Amino acid sequence: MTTKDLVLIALFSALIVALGLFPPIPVLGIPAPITAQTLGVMLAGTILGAKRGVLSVVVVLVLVAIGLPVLAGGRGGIAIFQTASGGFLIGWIFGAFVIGFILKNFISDTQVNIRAHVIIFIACFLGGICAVYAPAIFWISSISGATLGEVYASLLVFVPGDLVKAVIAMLITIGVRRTYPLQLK
Amino acid sequence: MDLSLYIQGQTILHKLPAWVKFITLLVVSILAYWVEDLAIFTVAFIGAVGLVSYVGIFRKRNRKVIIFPLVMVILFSIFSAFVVDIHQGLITFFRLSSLVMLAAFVTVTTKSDAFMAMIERALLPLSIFPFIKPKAISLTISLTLRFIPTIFKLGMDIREAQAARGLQSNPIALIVPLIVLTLKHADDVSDALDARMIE
Repeated sequence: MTTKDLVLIALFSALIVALGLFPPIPVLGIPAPITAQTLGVMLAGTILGAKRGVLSVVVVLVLVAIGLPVLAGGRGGIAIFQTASGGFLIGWIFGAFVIGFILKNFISDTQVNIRAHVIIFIACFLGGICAVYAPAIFWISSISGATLGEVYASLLVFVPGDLVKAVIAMLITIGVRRTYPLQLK
Repeated sequence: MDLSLYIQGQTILHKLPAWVKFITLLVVSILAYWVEDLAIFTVAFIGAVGLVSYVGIFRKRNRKVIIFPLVMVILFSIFSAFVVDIHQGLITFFRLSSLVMLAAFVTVTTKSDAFMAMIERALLPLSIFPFIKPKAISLTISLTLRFIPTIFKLGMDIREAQAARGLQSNPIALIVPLIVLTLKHADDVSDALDARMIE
């Protein structure tokens, strides 16, 4: 772990927090505007790679736990972990890992062709949606007493919005790779 | 930018060490899932309301730390009442709202610095592993806090520049330059740290 890695982790955590401070961005065709914070988590995986991506998400979660209002809408404090959001927050860690892992193993660090587009999208889908929702489903089911299936069904409404985020994350990653490619770690 | 949810106070609860409050919260959170008795939860709920009112959480300036989690809990209990039954809904409501209030209470009575010091101390025994360096962890976290306003301002500047050229706000056009500038910034900062032989 070099100084550079440490600084990248710190600055990317700051970026994830800063993305939550921006007013939600309206996207064509989606009724609810998206908050950019979960996008930040996907990007931590695609741009920094599994190890550094996970660590920068962990830094954000530590800031939440020590009571700083760093989540979108100025939310923070340990109370957040007790609500349904807690499951998603834990899921962020898995998400960043899965995304970084897939990118590292299936495409090179500077690749921007069609194959790279497809792999990055698949990574964002599996990591940013599946890996984030899985712990959330267990979490919500255990605190609400509903079965896993019921929770799963009720969360499906959020999937279209997240698919849009995965596409946006893919396009942003390609854009960044074109201008400032970084070695994944 | 005010970056803390801490509420000033001189009560005994403010003076308790951070780790005592944190461990208590952890233990209570785990115990709460073993209990299924509505009477106990009602008592816990009243106690929690008393505790958070005592430190002034419901005052206008401090309310935001509790309002969002409570709204979530209420929505959640309604969900639970619908898919399981009313009894489960009530249990969910009392259990989660008590926990949420207790957690908010710990948050507002403990300074972030005290929490940070606690984490550092907890990590100290782990520094026998070569990959865990408590100093590096606190450096990372202070860097993050230092750069949140900087990166936010960078983003606002990009947005403004694009608006001045008549471009609509587009997440891709905003975030790509923001990330590239952040990565460039990281180069400069790590050079500066290396030059001063920090770490």
